[in-house]
Amino acid sequence: MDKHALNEPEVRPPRWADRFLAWYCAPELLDEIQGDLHEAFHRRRKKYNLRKAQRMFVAEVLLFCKPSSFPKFDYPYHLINMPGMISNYLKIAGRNTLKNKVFSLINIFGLAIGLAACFLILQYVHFELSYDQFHEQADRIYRVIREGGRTKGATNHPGVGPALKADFPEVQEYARAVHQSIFIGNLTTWSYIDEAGEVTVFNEERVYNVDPSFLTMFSFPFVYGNPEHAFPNTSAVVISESISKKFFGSDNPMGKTLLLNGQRPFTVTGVFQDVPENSHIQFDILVSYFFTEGWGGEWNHNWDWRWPEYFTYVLLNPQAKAEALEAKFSDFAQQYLGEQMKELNEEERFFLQPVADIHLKSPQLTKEQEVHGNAQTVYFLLLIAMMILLIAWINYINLSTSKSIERAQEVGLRKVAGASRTQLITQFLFESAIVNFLAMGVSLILVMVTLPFFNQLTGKNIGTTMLDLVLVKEYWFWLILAGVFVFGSCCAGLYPAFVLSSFRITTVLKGKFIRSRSGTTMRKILVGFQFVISIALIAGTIMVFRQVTYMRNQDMGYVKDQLLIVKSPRIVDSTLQQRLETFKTELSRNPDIHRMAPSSDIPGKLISQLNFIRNRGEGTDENSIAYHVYIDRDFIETYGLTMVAGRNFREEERLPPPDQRTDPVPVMVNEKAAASLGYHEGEEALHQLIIFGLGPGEWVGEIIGVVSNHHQQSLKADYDPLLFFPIPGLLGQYFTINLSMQRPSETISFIEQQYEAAFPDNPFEYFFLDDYFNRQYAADQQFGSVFGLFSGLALIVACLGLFGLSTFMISQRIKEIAIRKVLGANLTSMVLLFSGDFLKLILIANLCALPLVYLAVNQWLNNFAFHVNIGWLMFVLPAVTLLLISLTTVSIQTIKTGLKNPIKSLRAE
Amino acid sequence: MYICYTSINEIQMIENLGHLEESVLLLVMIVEEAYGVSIGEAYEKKTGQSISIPAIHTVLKRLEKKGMVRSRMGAATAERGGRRKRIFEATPYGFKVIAEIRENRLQLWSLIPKLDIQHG
Repeated sequence: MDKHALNEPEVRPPRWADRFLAWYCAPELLDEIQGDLHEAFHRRRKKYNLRKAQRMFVAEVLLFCKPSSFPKFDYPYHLINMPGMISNYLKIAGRNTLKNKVFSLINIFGLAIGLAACFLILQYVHFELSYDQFHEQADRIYRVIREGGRTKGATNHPGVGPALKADFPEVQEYARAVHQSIFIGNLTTWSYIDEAGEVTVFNEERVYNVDPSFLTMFSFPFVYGNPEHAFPNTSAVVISESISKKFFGSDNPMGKTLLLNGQRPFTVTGVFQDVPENSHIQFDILVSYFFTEGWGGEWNHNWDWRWPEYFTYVLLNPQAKAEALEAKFSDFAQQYLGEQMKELNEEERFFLQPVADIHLKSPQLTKEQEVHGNAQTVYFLLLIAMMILLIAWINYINLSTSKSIERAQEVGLRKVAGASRTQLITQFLFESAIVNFLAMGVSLILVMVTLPFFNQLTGKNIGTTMLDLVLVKEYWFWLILAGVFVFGSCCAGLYPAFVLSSFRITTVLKGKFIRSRSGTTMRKILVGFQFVISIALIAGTIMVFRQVTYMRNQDMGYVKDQLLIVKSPRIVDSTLQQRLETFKTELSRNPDIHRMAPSSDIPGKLISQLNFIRNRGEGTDENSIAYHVYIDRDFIETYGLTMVAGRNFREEERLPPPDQRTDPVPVMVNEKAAASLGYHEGEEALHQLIIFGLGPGEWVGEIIGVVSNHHQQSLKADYDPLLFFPIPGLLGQYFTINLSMQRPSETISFIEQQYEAAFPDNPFEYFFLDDYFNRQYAADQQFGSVFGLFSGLALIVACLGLFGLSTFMISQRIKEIAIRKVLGANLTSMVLLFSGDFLKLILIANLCALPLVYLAVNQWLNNFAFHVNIGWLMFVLPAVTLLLISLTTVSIQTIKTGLKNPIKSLRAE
Repeated sequence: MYICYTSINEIQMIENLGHLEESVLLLVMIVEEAYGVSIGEAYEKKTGQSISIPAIHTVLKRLEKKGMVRSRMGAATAERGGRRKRIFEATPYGFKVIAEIRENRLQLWSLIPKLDIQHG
């Protein structure tokens, strides 16, 4: 402003009027109109005064504001012709598609495979993301998880739920769920006796004890009964539809009685629809949380703070903020657990976890209900889907631009006839739209056909027909579909369209058209990119398969091939000891049965009993964790474990009931547990006294033997530290039978006979341990299969592109080949010459892809405590595969052309 | 064909040339560098009546369309905010039309009988 004050004050027409003029005025008229008005303004300012000049300026700006000053609107004459042109575009596109059948098929099928892969993966991803979304209050339900004792667990103390509800107004409701293994055992036997006295009996594993609020908090729809009044008393049981079918057929089960372990009657008070597959908690039978009331004497279900075995859920008020509540948890823990934390010298912390996050976004927690998914895998699959689609689009771009020479003359003629560049681009976009449209149709058919196989592969039932797919009902699926169509048509179509429409008429029609260097480079980069993706996918597949095979074949530390597991009887009486002896003796008479051992747990699953151990005389800060296993003395031999030091349990040794443990209890540990106690040689650990069972009671045990390590869980986990006790109740949960696999079916029916004779009324249920154990690898194997499938698809699409491209490349060099042949070149040298380009590309692609793959694979392998090494195979095989494929393609094309009579190729023009 | 086309038009245009158009056409011939502002000033000076720039522009455009003037872009000045001038000049046809109008008028003048008596 000062600057203006010093100089002659700047006088100018009113700014707004000037701007308004510039806005409405056609640019080509602006010079004369604005110029004249400005000039007139300055003259009038001198002649009259500033204000008058300004007034006149404004008036004249307004006078000029009339149609003749506005930008000219060209009537779009070309639009009149639109329908005609469109039908012409369609006709030409159709003709071109038919004329180049091979190219069209490659384009359409390549795209279709890519799209189909995309849809299948989207469907899978959608399923994974849909976990626990079906609960109406899903956004307000949180699981309270707990960190303490050096582990982070999914379960919590029974007292936490009630205390949270009492202390915090934000918590509207709480619900606890606890698996029956905590109270009774992994298995329970349920039986139904109908009016005719006929007994139906099954062993059930998926049984939970829950608070009544569990059914109202979550949304598990009921077939019979009402979730609000499902548990009128502690003898009520709520069952799933399929359990109802198993026991009662099509009858209404309401009010009927089921016996638990042949003793305790429960009345059916509700039937819910089978728990959907996308629920993090899977159960068939629910009984009231309070039916075990009084089992532990003084111990109270609601106020215990030393038994973190309970899945605890809270429903927050709609206004409540989870973070705000979480922030108050440290005071909360201090209030209820302060003394205990001091006593055990460990800190306990609680967290809220949204129920919908449990499946995919949960951190690694101990005591998780089900094997949960992996967000990384899901996003990774999405990435692969996009890669496949990308490869298919690149094919389209490559093939269309390489075809450009063929179409250059067409473009030239069109230009001569008056086609504008816009029209040419529109024409080519139409062609790509048609290819995309056809591909989309084919891909939907492909998805429909392959869906059942895909379900098998992933082990998830995500719908068997197109209409079943949840995806189809989601509006965003159609948005994605439309997006992919538009993007595919435009992006894959635009580059070729621009290249093709840019040819100069004169050069093209004179026939002097030479392939541009930049076009070739672009194509090479695109093909190289396809190679990079292919190499990465092949290498990834190799590593996933190697790891899965390794896990299945790895020495587990025990003989796993010939172990049959029979679920032990639950309906028993006082003659148990005798019956078990008879059963054992009868079995030992069969030469095909080597040995038999009852135990509380079997390999293949996380053991539910976990507690601290430490050497006697050490402080609580020396605590380490160990899993408790109760075994028969034959367990060691049945499983083929070895005693590293010390001795096995004796026949007469039994774990006494808690109130009679005056002398040190004889225990065995495995090497891992011994190491965590500080004994790295087995002998050192012998006869050491340890403290176990911290919490409500501590007892002293004496280590009488050290057992070799074995894999209790999958190879993802390290060896678990195990503490073995002599089995107290004789039976355990499982009988492990080591048998020879010579006549398995006869042997099994023999076992069944003996089992039914020894334990009448109990169902005979069995499985092979290796199947049971390998179940843990289902997810990895599925990942491997899905990964393999899509890598295969990507490779096929890339090969299609390579084939098309090399076909075209050779067809452009027919004359060159003929001349070379005339001059005496042999086929070998020509094959080498033409493959040279591809060889270089593959080499560069390898250099780009392998470091990336190395990093990714390394990270994936680190998920496994035991894993294979990244061998040379991963680096060599993809390169060799690609090399073979491309060499074969190029050679076949070269040889085919080379074998032709050169005269024919040279004469043709 | 061309000649025939113009001859028909000539007659119409002469008939359609309004008073303001005639004046502006004349001014285009008179003023040295004829563009919107200069014509406007000359008009005011010669007739004593004021005229707006848009009016002049409209007339010039109409004359150009009728083929009596033609234009080219001239130089830009600072006074004009860096904008160029559109400078007009009369076409031979424009001159012809003006001459015809004058002739027509003179013819009409000569036919007034009282004129001689009154002025003696």
